[in-house]
Amino acid sequence: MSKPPDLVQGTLDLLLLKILALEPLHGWAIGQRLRQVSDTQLQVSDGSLYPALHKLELAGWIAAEWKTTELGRRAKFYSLTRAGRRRLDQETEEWRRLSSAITRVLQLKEV
Amino acid sequence: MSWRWIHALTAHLRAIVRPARAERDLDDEMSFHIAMQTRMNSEAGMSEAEANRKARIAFGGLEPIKEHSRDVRPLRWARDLLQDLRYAQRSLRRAPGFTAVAIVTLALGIGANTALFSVVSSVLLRPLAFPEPDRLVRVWAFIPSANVRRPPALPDYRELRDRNRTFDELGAYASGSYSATGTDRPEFLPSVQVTASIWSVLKVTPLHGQLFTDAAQQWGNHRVVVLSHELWQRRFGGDPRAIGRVVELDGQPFTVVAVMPRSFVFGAPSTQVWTPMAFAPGDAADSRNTYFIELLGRLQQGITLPQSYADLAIIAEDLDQRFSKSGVGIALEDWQESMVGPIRPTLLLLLGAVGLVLLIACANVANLLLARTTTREQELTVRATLGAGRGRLARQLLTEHLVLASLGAAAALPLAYALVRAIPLLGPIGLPRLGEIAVDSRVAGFAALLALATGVAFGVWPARHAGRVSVVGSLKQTARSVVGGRARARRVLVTAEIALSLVLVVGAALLIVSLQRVLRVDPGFEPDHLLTARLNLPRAQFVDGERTRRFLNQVTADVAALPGIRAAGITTTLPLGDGEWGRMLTIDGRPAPTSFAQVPMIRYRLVTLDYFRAMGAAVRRGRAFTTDDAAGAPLVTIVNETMARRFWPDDDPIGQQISFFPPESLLPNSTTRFPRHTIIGVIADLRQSGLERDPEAEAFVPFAQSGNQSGSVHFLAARTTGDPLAAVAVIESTVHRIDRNVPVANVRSMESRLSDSVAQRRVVMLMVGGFAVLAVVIAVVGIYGVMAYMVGLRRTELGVRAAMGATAAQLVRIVITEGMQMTLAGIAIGLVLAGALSRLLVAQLFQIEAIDPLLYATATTLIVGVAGLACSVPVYRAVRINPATVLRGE
Repeated sequence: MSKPPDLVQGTLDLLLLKILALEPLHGWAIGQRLRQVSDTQLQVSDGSLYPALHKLELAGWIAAEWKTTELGRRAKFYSLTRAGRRRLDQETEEWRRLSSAITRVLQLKEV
Repeated sequence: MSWRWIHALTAHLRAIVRPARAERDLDDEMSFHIAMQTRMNSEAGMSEAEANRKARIAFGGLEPIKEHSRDVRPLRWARDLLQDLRYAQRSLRRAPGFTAVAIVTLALGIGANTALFSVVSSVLLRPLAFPEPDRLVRVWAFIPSANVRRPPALPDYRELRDRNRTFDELGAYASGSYSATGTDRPEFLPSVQVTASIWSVLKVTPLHGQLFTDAAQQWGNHRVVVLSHELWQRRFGGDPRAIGRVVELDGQPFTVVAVMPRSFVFGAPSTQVWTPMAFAPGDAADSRNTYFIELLGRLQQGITLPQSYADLAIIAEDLDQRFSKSGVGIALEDWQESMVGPIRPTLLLLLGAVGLVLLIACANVANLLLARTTTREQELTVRATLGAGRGRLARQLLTEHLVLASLGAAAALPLAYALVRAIPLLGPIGLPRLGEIAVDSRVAGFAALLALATGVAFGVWPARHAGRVSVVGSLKQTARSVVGGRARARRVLVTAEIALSLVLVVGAALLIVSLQRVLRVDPGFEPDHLLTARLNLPRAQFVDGERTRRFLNQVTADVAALPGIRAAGITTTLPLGDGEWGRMLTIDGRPAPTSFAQVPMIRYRLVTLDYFRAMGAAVRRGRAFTTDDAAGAPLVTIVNETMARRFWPDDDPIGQQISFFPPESLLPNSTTRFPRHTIIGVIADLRQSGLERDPEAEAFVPFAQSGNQSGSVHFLAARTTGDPLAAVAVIESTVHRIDRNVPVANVRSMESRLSDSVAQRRVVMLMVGGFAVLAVVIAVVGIYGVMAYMVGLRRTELGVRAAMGATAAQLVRIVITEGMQMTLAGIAIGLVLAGALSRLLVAQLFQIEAIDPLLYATATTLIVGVAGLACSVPVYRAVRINPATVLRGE
């Protein structure tokens, strides 16, 4: 069995941090949100989502808490920690630099 | 410390401390996800069941995703290990027969290896049990022209000790023996005479009392004795007040000054007493022409062997210039190396042989595992479907194999312990440091390492196969096609087993033939019905040749007169005993050598008149000694065939005049004329130092004509009419009646001495032979297993063939071909390997070449034979296949 292919290395982490920066969410909602905001361009398989969330939790970027949802079921809500926010800022900055560099390369005129 | 670490830490702790809770959380989270998805699906208008099904499909495999999540959790490996261990335990229990066979095979392999390794570890690797043992060095005189080392002379030792600049201390010692007298029955005590400096060389302290000092080496002050722990227990019951008491040695009173600890071994392990090295003024032992002492020194801190050699070589050269002028130099060797160096090749050889057995055992267990992996296909496939990765499956199997190997090693340790305890029972095999051999932590570590190595060795192949389990593949394919690859692997393993077994069988056969040929060597005497004993004549009592002769004549006369004794003789050197005497040889009428180094050396023995008759040695030419060869008569001698051949290859030695001294021309300032002996006979070569050693030139002189020479070591040889051991008691009492201070020691039949002289060879042969038998048995089990398995697989095919009219002979041929392919391939590889490896045996071989075509052919036939036997049961089954049953069953 091989793991489902990831997005560009490291970008899934960035996206998850960003979504959780807006509000605490449970796993299913995170997946839905990701699909909505990216106009279904970004689809993260559940097989990648949960291990990634658990990894971020263990790293201390996000924290998890069991809460009861509006439907009365217990769900695991993830929220950004303070360190996670700083991390998000760094990663965002990093991503901007990288993507603008890539954009500049792609804008080169062919002779 | 930022908040992040606190979050991370609590998350880790939760996962580690409450693993069950973590599992439940994971379940809850996943089922919540599915519930949400189901709800969304049903809101989109699906039926309840359909919504749930779609949600599950969208989610993908639940278990694999959980596995990935578990992967990121801390201590994943530890939890896996625990889980794997549980699986291993469960699956080994489910197959008790397989588990038992595998563990027994491994226990035998690892046990034998561990036992042999404890010998290698204790004898070769562990430093000697003295402080800073790497600084202890043996020193010899060295004769470059003959490339031999010899003991230095006592006066030379003193100069070496006083003038060297590289030793903290240099000591001398010599083995000997005493008769403990003054009691009812004289006792033979092996002893070592030591200079007081030996104590500082060894840096030892006694258990009780004080070790003697240099002052005890003054003749007159020398009657002090250091007791072994054993003798102290035996004679004084372990009483510390033994210090200061007097024991009688050789009829002289010696004061006990010290008792050594139980662990102290210096000299032969049987040594009971240590006395000062002291000689009366004018004693011939203390001269530059007498060589009997051994030197042991402690190097100064930081001094190397070559530095010390350079230092001593200058002194040795000076000594040679001043005294012998024959180019005698010096030789140094690390003490431990000088002790264990000779046995090293033999031990390593055995370790190699037993290593092959372990390889075969591993191959066999791998074989069993492959067979089992086939039957476990289903289980592994299920595990893979549930999300176990390829590596994970392989790891689980490897854990199982390591558990198997560890169980094997655990069973091997008591086996190794028992084997090591049994080593002293092997007889006098000449193994140094015998008392130190033990199963210690290093040995246990070795066993653990072996377990790991074997677990990996036999486990990796099957584990790799398991790693290739393809979910789709094994669902689609029938069992038989999957099995094809395994069958090939199993055939390769069996081929390897056959090859390695053949190597061991060839090695064992070479050793067996060598031993047979050694035992067929004519010793030059008749060893049956021959009783031998050692008579130690106390020096203080037997001060001159006359007293010694009187005693010896009395003993031979009285013993020969006993009923059941046909003849009795006494000698100074018994074959396979000890007490070597070397003398120079000068032949009249030949040009005299110009230096001492060129004077030939021969072996010299004193004998009573009847000695040759008692030994049953044949006089080849001339005559034996008679009563006419008495004290005043012309001096005579009998030489052995080797001496006759070496010095008189073309003429008759009978009637030649020889002396056992250097030519007078080499001693310019002396007017002495040394006595001449006339050669009156040539005797058959007696194998003095073992059946395998070529005889040396020897001359025999009657005690009656030996003048004033006397030594303390003598051997009695008595030819009996019946069982020689039946005569022991009467001979002992006869000697005791003549002189109550002479112990009759080491009373043995000559046959048992002969048997002891080949003990090491016999043990090496038995061990390699045992390994070979073990290897063949394991290989036969392997062949049988694979053949039975093949026949099982080809049941249908064989049944169809039978139904189509194939005869029994044709079916037999089909099956046999299969088995013989493996056997022949194994034999081809094995013969090449044996040809290469048997070269390592050369030192152990006697009168046979490492590559002996007949022997290789015999070994090959044996292997083919047992392989055929192993095939016979599967072949029988193949012939008995009932076509009707097979066709109905499929």
